[in-house]
Amino acid sequence: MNARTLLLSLFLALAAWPALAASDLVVVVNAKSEVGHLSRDDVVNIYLGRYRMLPDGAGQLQSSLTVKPLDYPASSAERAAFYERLVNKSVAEINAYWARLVFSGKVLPPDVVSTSHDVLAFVAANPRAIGYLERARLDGRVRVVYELDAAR
Amino acid sequence: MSAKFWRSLLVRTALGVVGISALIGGLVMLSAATEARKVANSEVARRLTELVDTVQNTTSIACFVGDKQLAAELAQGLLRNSEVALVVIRAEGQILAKVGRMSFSDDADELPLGPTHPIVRPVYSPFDATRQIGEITLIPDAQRIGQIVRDEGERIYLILAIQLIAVAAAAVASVLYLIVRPIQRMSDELHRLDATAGQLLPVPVGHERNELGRLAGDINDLAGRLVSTLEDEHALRLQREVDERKFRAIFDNAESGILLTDGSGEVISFNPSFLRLCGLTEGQAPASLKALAWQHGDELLGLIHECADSGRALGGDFLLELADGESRWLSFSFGAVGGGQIQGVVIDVTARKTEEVAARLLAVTDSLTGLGNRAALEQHLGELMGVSGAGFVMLLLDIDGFRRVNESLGLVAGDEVLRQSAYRLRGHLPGAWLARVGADEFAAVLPPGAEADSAAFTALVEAMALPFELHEQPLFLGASIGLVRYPADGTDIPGLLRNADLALERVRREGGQGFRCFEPGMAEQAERRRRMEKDLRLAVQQNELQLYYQPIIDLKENRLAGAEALIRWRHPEQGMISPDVFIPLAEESGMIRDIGLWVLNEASTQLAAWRGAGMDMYVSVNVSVKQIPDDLPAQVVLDTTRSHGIEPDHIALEITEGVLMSDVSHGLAWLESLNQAGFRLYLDDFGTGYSSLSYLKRFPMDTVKVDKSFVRDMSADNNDRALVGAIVMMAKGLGLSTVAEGVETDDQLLLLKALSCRYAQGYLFSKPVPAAEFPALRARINGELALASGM
Repeated sequence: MNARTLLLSLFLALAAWPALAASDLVVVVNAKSEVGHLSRDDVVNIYLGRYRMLPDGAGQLQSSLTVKPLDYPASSAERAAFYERLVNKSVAEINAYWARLVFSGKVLPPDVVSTSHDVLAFVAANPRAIGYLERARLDGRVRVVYELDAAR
Repeated sequence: MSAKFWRSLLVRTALGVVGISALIGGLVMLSAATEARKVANSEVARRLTELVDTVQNTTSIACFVGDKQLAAELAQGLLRNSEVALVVIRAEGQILAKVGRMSFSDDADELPLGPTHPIVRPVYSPFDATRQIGEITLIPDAQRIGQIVRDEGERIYLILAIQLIAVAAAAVASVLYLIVRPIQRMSDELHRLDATAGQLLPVPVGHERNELGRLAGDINDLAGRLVSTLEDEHALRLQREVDERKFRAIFDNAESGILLTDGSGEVISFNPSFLRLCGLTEGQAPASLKALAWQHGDELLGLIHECADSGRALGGDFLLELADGESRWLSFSFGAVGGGQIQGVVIDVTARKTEEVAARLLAVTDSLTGLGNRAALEQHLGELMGVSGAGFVMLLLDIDGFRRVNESLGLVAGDEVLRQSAYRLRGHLPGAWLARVGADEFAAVLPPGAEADSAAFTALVEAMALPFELHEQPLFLGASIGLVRYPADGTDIPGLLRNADLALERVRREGGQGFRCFEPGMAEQAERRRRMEKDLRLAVQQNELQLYYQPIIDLKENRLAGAEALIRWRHPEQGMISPDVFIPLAEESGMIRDIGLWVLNEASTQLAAWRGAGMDMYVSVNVSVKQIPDDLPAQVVLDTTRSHGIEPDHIALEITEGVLMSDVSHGLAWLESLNQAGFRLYLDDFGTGYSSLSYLKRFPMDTVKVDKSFVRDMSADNNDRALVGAIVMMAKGLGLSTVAEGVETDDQLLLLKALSCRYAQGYLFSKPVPAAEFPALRARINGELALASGM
């Protein structure tokens, strides 16, 4: 990446940030999914590799409810805002977190997609998938299970 | 400097420093080691805590995710620290990892027990600091920690030991260089120092202002004082030696023995004179006074002991038997001189003692007879009286007429009489104790218990009456003996002697030649005599004496020729007292002198008066044998009569035969001087005594007075008439006149006239009358005689 690209990226990031910061992020699943509403802990556990299962109505984790989280690239504004709002961590911290875990190979970080389109498409196509995006970008194929308020 | 090395200051200081340092160091080390262990433990704990902190994030993640592999790796990483023994990581109640060096059970949740406390840290969620999701436990390695602590301790020990050695070395070096060496140098200097030569101890260099410097100064001061004291002492000793020599010379050369002894008589010191006095030579010095042969050694030692006890000066004489058989009297004077020592001064008093003994013996011995004397008698009586219950008989013997022997024959003759008397006494009183207690008085004390034997005394009296042989001329004397019995006749010596004397006196007054036992009446009589003697003395002064006059008739011329003056005593209470009673008393008491003079004076006065009145007569005066010659010297008689204007031939002096016998030479001289003066001398009581005609021839007598006993018994045809006739005849032949006394009857008068007796005297003519009546009496007698002759 040359200097122009870097500057551009930085500009874009800065340009996108206020917009993103001002908008809510929501966690979504396939509209047809059995998954109901998720707690904040559920979201943390899923995204930070603790569990990849969802609890049932009684709160018990069900292997049948194994989910596949989706994340954005490391440099994306969505990702930064998401972890910022979820666990109050920077992207770099999250990366470092994962760096320690990947050695044991037991859990892997969420699969990375490029845009919110990709998230919508993947979730719409995969009932077990789970992703997050700006509320403004929601459509009918997905269902919100957790909301991360911008005001938070 | 010969002291053992461990006594040296240096070694002692070193040992002291090291010892104290070691003690303190040990205590310090102990506390330091304990502290070090604590520090090490807390250090380990701190390090391990920090270690845990470094892996906190990773642990948190591993616990969050429950990643056992990550946890195991983590634990392995921690275990690489050598101080960690075991690591346990738990998450959500399950053990994620348990890794350690020691063996343990994998399954059990238990931890191995050890000396170290486990470090337990809670693990929080990486995303929620308030939520604990697990814990990590670290067990420290006790062995390892122990090793660390030990290493730490050893390090401290090492440091302290080095410090200790350094301190001790410093102390030793300081002592050595600051104290020991200077002291050694001072000591060496002191050894070489001669303080008397004025040398001073040099102050060690560099120590001038400290304690050593002051010490050197003090030593020099002390040396100075000692030297000056030494000099004083030396001067004093010299003086003392001079004194000592002086006193030694006195001690050695003293004539008296000087000795020093202790309280028990052990001799400490003595001088040569003491040895000489004890009869010892140089080599025979006695160790003790007990070693010498004292007659009363116990008393000598007792004296010393008493002197030592009381401290008083005491003395005494002691007889010492000498080696050569002689004995010597030594006089000791003891005085305590302190320290329990007694100083004795000894002188030889043998000569004095011998003299004393001789003098004592002499004092109680009559040198003439060899018998005891009066003192000896009293001593002897005292001894006898001291023996209780022992009665005895004592007699006093007096030689009759002894004084006459001395006076007429001389003292040599008297002494011979006494010697012979003593001999006779001894022969007739065997076993009796004899003494001569007066001029002619002997005492004999019969042995206690011996009874008075009259026959023996009679024999003694008879023996004493035997003639004494003096220059082949026999001398007839006699003895009077008075007897007393003890204790009946007196319980003390003076009383006994007085009573014996009274008994003797009675015999003597009865004429001697006999013996009498004392009777209580004698004392009363003696008392009476004594009282009368006193009264008589007063009588002379108070004119109680009177002269009576008895006429003497001249038968040839038929007239009154004279009168005999006769003394009378008119006692104020007892009336007239006979001269036979009081004249002997006056003679014994010596009052006869004054009475005799009074009589002569009174008679002369009276005669002068009568002759002045025309009465031609003479007066005869009686002179006692006791008055001749001294109590009535011829010159006094002459002066007295002349003072009254009396011619000597008007005074007649009547003497008895006793005058002629008692003292031939004195009596004769007296008589002759009076005869030459013209006095008439009458021999009174002729015929009663020896009536030796040779006396009449030898003595210048004028008249003989025939004793009344012859005249009274005279009758026409008896011996008395013939005797009176013979006397008258004989007197006439010798040119002497005769006076017949006691003429009471006319027959007697006729006979006397027939016998040519010139003078007569008696109651036929008149009894003695007072002077006042005499002139009338004379006139009557003369008248009657004239009438008778006229017939």
